[in-house]
Amino acid sequence: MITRVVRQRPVAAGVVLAGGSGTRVGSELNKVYLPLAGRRLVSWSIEAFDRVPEIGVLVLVTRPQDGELVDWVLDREITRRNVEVVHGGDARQTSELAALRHLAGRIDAGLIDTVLIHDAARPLISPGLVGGVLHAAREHGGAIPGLPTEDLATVSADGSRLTGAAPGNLVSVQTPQGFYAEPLLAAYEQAARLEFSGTDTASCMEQFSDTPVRWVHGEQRNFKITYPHDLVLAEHILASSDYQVQ
Amino acid sequence: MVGAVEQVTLTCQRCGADSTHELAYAGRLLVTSTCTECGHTIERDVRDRYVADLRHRVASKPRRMLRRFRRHPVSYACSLPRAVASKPLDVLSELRLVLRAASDVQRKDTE
Repeated sequence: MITRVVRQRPVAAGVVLAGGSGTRVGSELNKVYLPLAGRRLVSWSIEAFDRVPEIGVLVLVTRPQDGELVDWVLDREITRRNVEVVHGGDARQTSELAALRHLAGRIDAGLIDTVLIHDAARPLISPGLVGGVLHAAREHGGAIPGLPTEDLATVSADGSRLTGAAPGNLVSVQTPQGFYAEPLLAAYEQAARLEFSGTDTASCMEQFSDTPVRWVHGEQRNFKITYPHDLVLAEHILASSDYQVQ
Repeated sequence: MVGAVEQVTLTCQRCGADSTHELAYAGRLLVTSTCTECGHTIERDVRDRYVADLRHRVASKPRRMLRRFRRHPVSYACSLPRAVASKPLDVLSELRLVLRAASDVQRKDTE
């Protein structure tokens, strides 16, 4: 008898960080569960990832204390049934590491080739940008979205005076940030051993990997919810697209 | 309580602090935001949008109810009497919030 072994084509994994850094203790809501145009912030991001066929695995990194909210969102707002929930740490870095360790078996087995890590506080991410970052990451090893920024200036060390225009070719970095899965996992394990904590995924990769990182053009609408006014703007944008992920 | 109120940490546009903000919603619309540190308040006149939103919510309610019923028939059926009883009060509370915010916005415009 001849047994045919069908090798499964590797998929990409999307990781949505919903740890909510900056959230105070007490009765306050984690920002990523705020209502926005009829859904919670985090579910807009999950929906965008779900619309990209190459994203075969979707991981949501949460805090244990948000358990009920997470269940509610997955039940009421997410059509995809197999979102994998992982409990993260206190910092972004440990949350990313928790997600990567959750995926480690499948990364080692070659079932996941690329990982995209996204901040849930950026709810207006489009499937087009997710796909663009994914394709660039698969082609070059790493990809981050960014927007060219020309209106920056530098200030003196004490912050008292302007010292001139900022150097050219600056981009303001967004998420999702995508990388080959194996070097990404290795970089985060090494960072954990050395107790390194970076500002984002790219900073950890710069420190512990020589994987080339390309930037792809980000989107104006992919801003981070920081000020109350951002919620109003995001609501307007979603209303103008008939409350659909675009 | 007027409408649905959430407390969350955001950066205040006036005092610049990462502080607790109280956000009040009417349906899908954010109506007011207040910084609990400095009292800075954003209010919106959303009357027209609220009417359109309410119409959309009413029209899509049967589909949403059916989806929930299919997922959890027993628990959803059990929760229905309470939900039916409280819904008119929720809408009334949203209306109060929308009208009060609209009146505040108009008053500020005329000052």
